[in-house]
Amino acid sequence: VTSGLVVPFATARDQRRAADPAASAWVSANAGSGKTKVLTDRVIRLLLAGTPPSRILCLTFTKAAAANMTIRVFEQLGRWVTLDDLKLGETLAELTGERPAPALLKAARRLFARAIETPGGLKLETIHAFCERVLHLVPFEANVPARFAVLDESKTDELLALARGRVLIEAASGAPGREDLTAAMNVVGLDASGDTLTGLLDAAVRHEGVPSDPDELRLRIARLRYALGLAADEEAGDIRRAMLEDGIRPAEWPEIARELRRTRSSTDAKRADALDAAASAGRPTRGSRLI
Amino acid sequence: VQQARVFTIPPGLPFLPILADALTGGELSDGWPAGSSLADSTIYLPTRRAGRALAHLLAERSGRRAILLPRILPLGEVDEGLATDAPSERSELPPAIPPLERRLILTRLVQRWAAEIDRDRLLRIAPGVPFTVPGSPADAVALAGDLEALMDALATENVDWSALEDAVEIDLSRYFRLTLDFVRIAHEHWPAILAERGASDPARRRNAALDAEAARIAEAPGGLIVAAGSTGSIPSTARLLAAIAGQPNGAVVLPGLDLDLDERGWRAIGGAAATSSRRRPGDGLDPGVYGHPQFLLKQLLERYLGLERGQVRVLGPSEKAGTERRRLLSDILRPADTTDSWADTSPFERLVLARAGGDGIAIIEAADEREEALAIAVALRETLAEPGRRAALVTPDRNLARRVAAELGRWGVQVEDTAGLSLADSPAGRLARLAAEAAIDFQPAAILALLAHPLVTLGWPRAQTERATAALEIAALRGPAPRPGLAGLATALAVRRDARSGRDPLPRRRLADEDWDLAAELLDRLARAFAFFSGRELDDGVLDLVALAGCHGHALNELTAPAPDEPREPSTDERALDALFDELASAAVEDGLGRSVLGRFGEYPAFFASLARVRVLAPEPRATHRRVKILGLLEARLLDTDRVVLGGLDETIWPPAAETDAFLNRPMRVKLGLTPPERRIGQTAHDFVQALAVPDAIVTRAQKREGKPTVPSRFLERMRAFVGDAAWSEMVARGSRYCELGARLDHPAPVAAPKRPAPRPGAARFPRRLSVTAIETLVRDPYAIYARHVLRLEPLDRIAVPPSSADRGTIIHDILAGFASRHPDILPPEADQLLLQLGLDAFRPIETAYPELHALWWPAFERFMPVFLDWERERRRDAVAVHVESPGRVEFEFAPGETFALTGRADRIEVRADGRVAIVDYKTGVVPTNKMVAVGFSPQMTLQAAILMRGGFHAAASPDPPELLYLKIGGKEVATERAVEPPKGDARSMADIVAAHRDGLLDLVRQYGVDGAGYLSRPYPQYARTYAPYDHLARVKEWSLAGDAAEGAPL
Repeated sequence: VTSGLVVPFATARDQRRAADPAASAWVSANAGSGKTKVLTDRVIRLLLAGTPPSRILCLTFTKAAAANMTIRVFEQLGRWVTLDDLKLGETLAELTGERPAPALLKAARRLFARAIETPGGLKLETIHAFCERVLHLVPFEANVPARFAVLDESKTDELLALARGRVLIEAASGAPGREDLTAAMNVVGLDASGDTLTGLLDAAVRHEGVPSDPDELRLRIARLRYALGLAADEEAGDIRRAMLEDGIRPAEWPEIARELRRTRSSTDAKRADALDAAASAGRPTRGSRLI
Repeated sequence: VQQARVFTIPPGLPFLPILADALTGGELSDGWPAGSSLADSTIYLPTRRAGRALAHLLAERSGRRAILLPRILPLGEVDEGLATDAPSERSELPPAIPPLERRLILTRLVQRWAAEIDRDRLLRIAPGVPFTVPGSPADAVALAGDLEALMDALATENVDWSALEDAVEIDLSRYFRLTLDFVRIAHEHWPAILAERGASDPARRRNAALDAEAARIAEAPGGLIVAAGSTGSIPSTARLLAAIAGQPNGAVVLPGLDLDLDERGWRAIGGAAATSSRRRPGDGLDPGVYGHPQFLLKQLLERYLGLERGQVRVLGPSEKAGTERRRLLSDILRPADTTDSWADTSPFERLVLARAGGDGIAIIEAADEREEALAIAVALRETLAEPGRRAALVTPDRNLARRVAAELGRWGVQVEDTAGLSLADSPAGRLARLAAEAAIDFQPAAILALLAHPLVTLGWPRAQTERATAALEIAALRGPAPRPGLAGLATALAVRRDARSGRDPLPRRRLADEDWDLAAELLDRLARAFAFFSGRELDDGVLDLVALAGCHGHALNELTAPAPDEPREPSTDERALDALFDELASAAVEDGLGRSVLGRFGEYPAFFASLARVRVLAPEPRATHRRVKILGLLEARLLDTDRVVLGGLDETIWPPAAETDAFLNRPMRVKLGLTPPERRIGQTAHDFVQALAVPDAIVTRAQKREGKPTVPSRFLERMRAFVGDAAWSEMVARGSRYCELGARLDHPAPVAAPKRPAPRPGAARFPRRLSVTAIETLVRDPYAIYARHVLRLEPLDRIAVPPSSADRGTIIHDILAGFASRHPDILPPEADQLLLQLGLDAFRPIETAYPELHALWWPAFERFMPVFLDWERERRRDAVAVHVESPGRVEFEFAPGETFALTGRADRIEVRADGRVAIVDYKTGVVPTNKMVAVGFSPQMTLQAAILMRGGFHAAASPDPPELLYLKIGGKEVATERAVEPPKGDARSMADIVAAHRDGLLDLVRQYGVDGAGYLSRPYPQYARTYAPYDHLARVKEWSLAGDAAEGAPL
């Protein structure tokens, strides 16, 4: 906590409540408002209550946050080691809201060294690191290669490109049983090729949400239509028609063409011809469905 | 009873010199036995290296007299695993099985276990799901290594395998069944294999040897027997030390026993916690006790030597040097359970101790490993400025060691890492790995990486190999990938040689006949080297990987064969590599059915690397600096230096991560009586104290390693908490000096931004012939013409490039040209069939080599065909003749006696029924706008028109300006026609524009060809291509940032 910053009483009280290890808490707050402090306090209070440090698991989303949390816990516990009884008592009271017993002061001073010597390290880590660690510990049970390593980005790209190539070949070869793939390829190929197509495929793979369940698919499409502001039965032809006709109505086009011809400019004459042609043409056919 | 002679040499003092003094001065023997000389004594030291150093010191002390040295024997102490120095020749057990053979047999057993595992009973995976725990042969090697570590741990602590079954708790038995089944390899199959071979297990044999040694000492006392420098980490060693200490003629010298720690603290190490009632299942024994630097020594004293700490005598100078540092370190690292006593010392006293003890310590907190290494290098280099002073870097991080060695190269200081280099990372090891990788399928990049290795000679002088490599690279490896394999490469080389033409890339056109010969010869030699070691030949099926190593070795012999007249001595690493292959050849790995380690060829490189990685090469004494050393923790144990740098003080490095293995968890290890992994932390803590006790000490860490934030070492965290902010920041301030010096070294002198280049090679150098597309480049980026046509530089193609959209454009051009040229006047009724056939033929090479590209390109071409045919029929309706790929050329005199030739190849020239001519250009890329054409940035079509009007095309001629037409291929419309016309707002007719461009060209040619104008780089940045091959040469990024503005006008 930055010195000189006055934490409002209510905030301090809320933070203390959230850091109480006896309570389950959900904390949602702005950046810089003290979420990490609450989490650190909670870890420290667990330790203070006698929990062996190896039995605490604290997960974060980034490596930086995990390292930062660990350093903060050590820093705070490290400060306690050399504080005199009065100051340490005050600090503990502020943390827990209770006057500490003299025995707790001694225990609190030992926490620092005990915490940094946690077997296998204090477990403040990212979710990925945690899962990786568990899998490394029980490869037999998890059926993973005993000393697996997580793929790096370039190797991932390489493998993705390989997989993409295989799918494209399968789609193009029209292999029996993959007619759906060939059909999809024929539709997509009209609009996208080259980098656009590979980008599209990657996006589809990354957002594994392209559902195979037809009901789910209908629901997703309905949501997309809603987001685009499309009415239930609106289709591509309707949009095209609206673009043409909902401005100046077709009935007025011949009139405008007549006006244009009066300017005697060759460009305007061309425009007038186009307008006449458009007005005499039939209504645009209803096009394919938008989505 | 005579008191046992147990001594200690405090940390921070030079261990071996003090030991040598004590040996020659008689302090160790108390004068016993009377009349015995140094030559009769036996001295045990941790390693052979320490033995050599002591012998050297003793010889020094004898002055000029020749002396008989004592018997100096190694105890074979190592961090983990097995000693290589163990006194094995003194055992009665059969010889130990060679380590490589042990690893390979266990690997084979692991593979068999995985193949024969009882899926129904042990595995809970669905049928058809592969069991991937050993995912590859390399994985199996790693698992075998883990299993060896467990076997050695059990042997070292003398624990029986049956204890393992008992250690598994009932409620966990289901879970551990699989593991127990796995370790059965070690205790059911292994002993039988050993018995059959008449060999013994290395760890058990070492134990037996040490125990036999202890027994012999007890029976036959000779001269003085001294064991020095060991912490007794292996029980058998501890027993030997006890036997020595128990003899009237024996003495033990301990390294750095802590005599400063108070009694309460001392009691809390090991003993107190072991009887503690606060133990809980799952939390194991309080692991902090193993992590204390004195744990091993205390255990040795109390359990084996039966002594109190007070009975140990101190060797060394009696002055107070270093006492404060030792007191400080002792207090900082006191057992966790007694750290509350820190608060008992008043803040003032603590500050006094911190300042006195911390005097001479500097702490470097670098931002990352790069900065850390540079700061260390500066600190080491500083010592060299003072004559005679020595410095050492001590670090468990071999990467850091390598970085520091490299940074020291700035001053020409050559230091080799004494901790040694893995064979896999040595030059010879890298060569072996590159050869194995290349052999999988001889990809061009892999072949080039192999040939770039300086050891590859193939029976030639290296310079000749390099020349041949360059020729092969330019001739066959750059540009489109040849067919895979060495044979495919040879075909590609032959084809390209036969089809040499003026349209080849310039670098290839420059190859002389002898270059082509050399490239072919190189391929022949490679084919010979890889005759029996090729993934293409051996691709299918499962191979004996151990036997395959023989082929690998043979290939390497061919690859490194020296030129006949330049025989060469193999280097240390080459000899080590040869030794590995020899051992692989002689290792008897097969079981009764002849099965060995199995795998596919593609898995061999990783398998080989996993074996090469565990071999560590001893550094060459010649290569290490006299006054600067880089040491691992083991090498640093009996350190003697003036300045020490402790590098890599971050958690998981120093101390290392205390990971349990995949077999036993922490509680099970404790139950079995195995020491927890924290014992390693205790050992590194002892190393930390020993090193940091040197008066002039620098400690370094990095806030980030490999881009990931780190947590500072617990030793530093403890120091910081104890000494307080004031003393800590003083130490950090002393350290930051080295970072600042390092930063200053890397701060470049300011460099003025270069000006936009406009080289003036002179009018005579202006090319006398350019194509219409080159003229477009001359307008947009004259510098590119200078680089291409004056300097004759051309970018190399990339290595084995997949076809690009430009290649696709070429294919389509060829199809269309072929189509029209077959029927220049009338289209036959089966035109669509013809076009389809031409397309199929043209795309076939892509289909075979790059099916995934074909999958994208062919459907697009299929959509294009009918649209194109419609267009073609429309055009043919009033075309009299169609000519494709017509070459055109006109010459004009731009100065007296000086002619310039303008050339251009028209995609298509049509003669219309009305006598007019049309020039059509197919564009698969971007079509220039009419405006770009009119203002002269894209004069390709207008200049073609100019050529036509001057009668430069044989195909057709017309004094009138032709119709100019682009056919844009691709995009959503598949094919679109676009006529070149005067843009809006431009009152000129096409004839005017063509004439203007013709005159503009003449002016341009005169500018360069008469006036010798400078070839400016990218005069109009907005019209230049976003990337051009000569931009780097023209340093565009540099001057364009400086804001050099555009000038001049296009055609």
